[in-house]
Amino acid sequence: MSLFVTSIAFGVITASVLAIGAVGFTLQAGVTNIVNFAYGSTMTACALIAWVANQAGLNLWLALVLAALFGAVFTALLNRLIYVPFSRRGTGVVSMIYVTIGAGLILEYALEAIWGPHYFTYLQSNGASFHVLSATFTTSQVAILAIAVATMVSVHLLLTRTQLGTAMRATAANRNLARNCGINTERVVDIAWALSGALCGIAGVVLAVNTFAFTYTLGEGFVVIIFAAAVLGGLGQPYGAMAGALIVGVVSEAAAGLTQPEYKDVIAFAILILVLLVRPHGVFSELSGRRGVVR
Amino acid sequence: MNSATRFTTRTTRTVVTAASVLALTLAGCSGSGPTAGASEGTYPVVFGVFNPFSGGEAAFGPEKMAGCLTAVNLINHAGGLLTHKQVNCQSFDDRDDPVDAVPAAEQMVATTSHLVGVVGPTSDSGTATAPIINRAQITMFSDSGERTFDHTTLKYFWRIVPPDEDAGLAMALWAKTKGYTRAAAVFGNDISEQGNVPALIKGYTYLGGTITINQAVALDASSYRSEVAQMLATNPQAIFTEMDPQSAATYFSELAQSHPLIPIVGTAGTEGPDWWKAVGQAIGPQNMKTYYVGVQPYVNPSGAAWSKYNDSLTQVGSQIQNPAQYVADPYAMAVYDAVTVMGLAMTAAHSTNPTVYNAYVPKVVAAGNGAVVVHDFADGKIALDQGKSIDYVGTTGPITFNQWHNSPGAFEVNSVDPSNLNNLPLITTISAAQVAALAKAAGI
Amino acid sequence: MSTALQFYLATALVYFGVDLIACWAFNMQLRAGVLNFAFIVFQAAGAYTQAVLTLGPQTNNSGYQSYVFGNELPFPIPMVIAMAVGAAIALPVGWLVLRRLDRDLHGLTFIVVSLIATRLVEIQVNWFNGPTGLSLIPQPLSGTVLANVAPQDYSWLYVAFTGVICVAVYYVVHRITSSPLGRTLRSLDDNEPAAAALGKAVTANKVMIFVVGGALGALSGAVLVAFIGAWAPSGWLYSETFVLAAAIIIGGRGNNLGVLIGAALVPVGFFEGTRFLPAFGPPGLIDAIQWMAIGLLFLVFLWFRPIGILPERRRIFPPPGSAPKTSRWRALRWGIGSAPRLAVASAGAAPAASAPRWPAGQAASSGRLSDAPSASRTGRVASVVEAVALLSVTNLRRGFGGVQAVDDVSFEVPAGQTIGLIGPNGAGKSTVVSLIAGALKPDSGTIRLKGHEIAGKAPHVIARQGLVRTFQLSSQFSSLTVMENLLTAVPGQRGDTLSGALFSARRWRHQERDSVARAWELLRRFEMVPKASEYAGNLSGGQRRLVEVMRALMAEPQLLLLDEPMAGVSPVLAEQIEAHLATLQAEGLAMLIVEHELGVIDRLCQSVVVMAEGKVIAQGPMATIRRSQEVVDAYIGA
Repeated sequence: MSLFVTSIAFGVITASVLAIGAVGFTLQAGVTNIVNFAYGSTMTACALIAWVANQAGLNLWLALVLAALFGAVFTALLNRLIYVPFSRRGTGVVSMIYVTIGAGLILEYALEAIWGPHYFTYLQSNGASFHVLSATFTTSQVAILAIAVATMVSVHLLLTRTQLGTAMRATAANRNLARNCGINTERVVDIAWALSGALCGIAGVVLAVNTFAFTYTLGEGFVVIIFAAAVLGGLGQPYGAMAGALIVGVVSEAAAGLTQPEYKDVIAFAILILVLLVRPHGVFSELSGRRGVVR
Repeated sequence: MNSATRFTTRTTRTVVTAASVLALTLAGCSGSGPTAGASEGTYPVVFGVFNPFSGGEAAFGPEKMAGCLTAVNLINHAGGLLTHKQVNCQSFDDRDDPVDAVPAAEQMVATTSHLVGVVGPTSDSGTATAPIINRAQITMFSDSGERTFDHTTLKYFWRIVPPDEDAGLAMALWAKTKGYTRAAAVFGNDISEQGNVPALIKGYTYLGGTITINQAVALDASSYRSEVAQMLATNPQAIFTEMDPQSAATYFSELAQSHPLIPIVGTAGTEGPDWWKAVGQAIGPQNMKTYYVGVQPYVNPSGAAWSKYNDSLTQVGSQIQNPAQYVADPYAMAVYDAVTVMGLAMTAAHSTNPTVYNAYVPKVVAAGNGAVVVHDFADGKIALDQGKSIDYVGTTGPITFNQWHNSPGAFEVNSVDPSNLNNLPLITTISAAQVAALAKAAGI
Repeated sequence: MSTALQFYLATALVYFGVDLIACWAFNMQLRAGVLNFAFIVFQAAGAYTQAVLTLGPQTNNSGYQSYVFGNELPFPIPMVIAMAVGAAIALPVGWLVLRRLDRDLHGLTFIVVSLIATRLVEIQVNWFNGPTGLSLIPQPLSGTVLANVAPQDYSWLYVAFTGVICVAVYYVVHRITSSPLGRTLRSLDDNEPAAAALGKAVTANKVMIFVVGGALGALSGAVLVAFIGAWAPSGWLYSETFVLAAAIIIGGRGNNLGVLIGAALVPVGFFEGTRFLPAFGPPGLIDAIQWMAIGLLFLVFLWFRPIGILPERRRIFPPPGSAPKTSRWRALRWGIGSAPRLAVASAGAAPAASAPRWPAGQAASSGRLSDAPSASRTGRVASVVEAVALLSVTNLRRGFGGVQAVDDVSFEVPAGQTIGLIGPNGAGKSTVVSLIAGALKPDSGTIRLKGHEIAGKAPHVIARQGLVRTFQLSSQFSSLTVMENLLTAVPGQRGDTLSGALFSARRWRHQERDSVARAWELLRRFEMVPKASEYAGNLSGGQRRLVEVMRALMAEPQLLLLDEPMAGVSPVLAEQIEAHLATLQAEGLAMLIVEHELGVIDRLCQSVVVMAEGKVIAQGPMATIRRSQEVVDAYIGA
């Protein structure tokens, strides 16, 4: 039984990493209706930028901030320079998917071309260990948990307490109506992309810290689980994404603890598909009307 | 005619023209090596390095290429092969999967001018591509540890690296020596890593040990905490392992966080700077020194053969990324030996044509009958030119081919000093005879 | 040519054939709006089936490989079974995923399915030998009939065999895509709700094409594995599907010859061609550059030439009598880009298409309505009450969250009559339309069409019972021509089923000739003849509205449900549309019109239903309604 409890505790850490990425992804998807398949490679790129800075002597957590900034700028530019022009030409939904896939491929393999198929590690010490229940956490992991919580709280405050947040929610709900109400939806969309990129950067660094050593395929493998968490909570619903991350993280770790660990991913994916079949809008999606369903 | 139709016709013409050009070019290529009986020319000849240069095992390609370049460098310095002053190495990427490897092998043997020998194939494509190379009658030295080659009937196939199950048995023997009666098996679930496991388990159990848990780990997950906890719950005294550096670092750092470290026994797949650095940082360099050993094919990093190899490696270093990592690398050295043996066989046979020289391969490594022991190509060539028979003993030690063209070798157990990754402290060796005995006894 | 070169060429050709089959099948699915990003799994399923049914029992080879079955079945049985396996896997997967999810999500879900499949095969080593994969798979007939054939001759025989398979697959794919079924599938790609409203079973069709594509994908895997003799998970990662997607985008979606060119250029030309490049740079650089190039190809082609090298052919249907009647091939001519040669269609060769096809019996007392002033309409009230109710809505309710959008609505549409549905914005009119047409399920209440309950039924079922609706926002099939838009609506087309498309070409071509003639008649009537071969996406707003109405008529409706037909239309065109509607009314068609243009309602409708805030606040002839204070309040107060 204690193994089970331990797994749940571990699941919370995995969920922390997932949550940051899932919220970033879903915020942008809600505001823009584009499924950004380049999200995973962007995570890797930001993790690598942090590594470069870290190797040059910068403290890891400062490097994380740098990575977040890079992610924000890069993603905003990616949208402006590539996605928007295609959109303006009337590129259809399906073709936009291919555009994001193409952008993602170029980015991921550019990383391999520049840095090679090697493995990178941050200069970090694990620090003191904390024992909670029967599980042991290092300072790094606690830091990750703290970062995740801080990020979630910030997003929540942004969405509910600021004008920008309200504007974002309005744009996500009904872009035309928001524009007619005087909201500068173009700027809101730009900011949504930048915010998504910043969260993507944080998620990438945190993931790299957690896995300890990483290579250019870091994001590619993880991004599908992020998608799973985001879709589970209802695409476009930030709180849903947080809940989805928690569910996926905890359930997969618990399942791994109870059964054979190699099924961890399969179980996470199976949960996703099951939820999608029962509630295509996601678990928390009373109001996310149009997305997802055929009818 | 509107623009759409014009484009169509133009495109069709272009495609057809391109296809014709391609077909003609290919038809004009001379294909594989010189025909039997033709007199030797002076054109450059090529050794093909048929290995993964991309995909999950992308590290193998450069490793084998380093071995090839090192050998070819010495061959060229000694005057080349017969009348061919220039010998080259050419890479052929099998892309780490059999579906891509098949056309790659076909292309290699079909369109490479003066291909005289092949280094490869590896495990990920071996069973599909070795027959192709054999059919083209090109001598190959493979580094695939797959069991299917233990009793191969392919005439042109040679192997001087040990099969996977031997590596597993060596690890079992080592664990027995150290008195570990309970051990966990933690291996990544992809191709190369699963090859060692069955023999390891069988051999270890035969020797009286207990495998407390056999984990086939999904690679590159973000966390293995549950797996680590499960493993620890079975209370092993040691951990047998092979995983890629990223997965290993995650796994062992999570182990170190929750529990005192347990001795780690890694396969040859864990012996490489990427792995040592990643895991070393994960568990701490001092712990690497104390807790880790690797079991890999034996190489003798001293002596005449090795010093020639090392000198040559320095000379070709500019063509290789981080050449220092191959100073004590058994697979690079096996390739070096392989190419040298092929070169000596050609010299002995007075032909670069594999249909002629293939039969001489075992002859240049056969001991006894007054054969002169040589440790490098230059010496071997001199002796052969004097009409003597030779026994080449290279960096991987003596080579003795059994009836299936296999020369299983010895193993070494080494630790790692993170401050000097190019110098591996040797702990002990395990002989081929010991491994063979265990294999027979355990019914493998 | 040296032997080795022969082997290489033969291998390249077999790979090309395999990629071709896969691309054609995948493209067929894409062109139906099914983003099957798990396509490679079907190829793998076929490959594994071929492998485990051709291999002997696993105790052979000293048990180096562990796998299921091992029945050593002779050629071609394993390949046939492979196709069945592909179809069998596609059926439940397709039904589960395609039933509920729209395109973005089902594309993503299929990627997840692909990952699950790879992971399961790797974990369950006893199924297909796990990550190591299967090898030493014997080639077909190599141990028996063709045992004494020289290997290079065998390779060429296999190339010929692959060629035959390609021709057969092309036949199947071509039959499907050039039939009315193909048109239906393309309409699904463009606009699923519109297709459903014309009676197309959306999910059933998508699942059907998913299964057919799955079987063909499996066949491609079987053909490949039978030749190369080995197969492993590293050879069917989900990224492989995107290589096929790149081939299709570059070659041309929706054009089978374009797909062939794409398959030659990308999987074969690009990946094979780069083998001949000299090695350069650090390890992994060439591979990285290759994949970057693929990504770049995606972007470049989608920007500069989104239609691909060979664009989808424009289908042209000449009007009857304009083309010389040499053979039945001329009835449907495939052309590229040229405008149709038109003779005036009144050459007399057209079959009797001028009489409208409204069912007899409901056309009774309709002849005088169109030109009667309001006075005689009022006098008509009595006969309206006596007429048979074609559609009756009773106590209809539907809420969203806390809002009751439709609150206890009841009204009737008698046969042969035109009823108006008006009310201020947010009154719930569109919701009522959606409920009647089946796009939404009511919370409670009944909707009866010709006495049969239709509430809660699927839109295509309701459409097939004779209720055809138009949409508020343009819902044309943009990538189909106007003529094709009209043809999709024809009910009961023989070529619209799989068996009809594959086996009954003669019969559906015959039927289609009649439909084409009828369509030309409509086009003439609505003065849209010059636009017949124009893509509907290129039309102006007003023209699209006309297409929508014509299309609805082609469906031979018994009740036409018009959702704001005049919205966004110029006054001149509005007049035309109204005139057409009046003619239809005169011919006895029953209609329910939602409109804001009260003048139109006034002129066309015998009776009007007024809604506000979800409720019916008034019903009756326009004259009466006009005087109701409640109605006035609702409009002004709203």
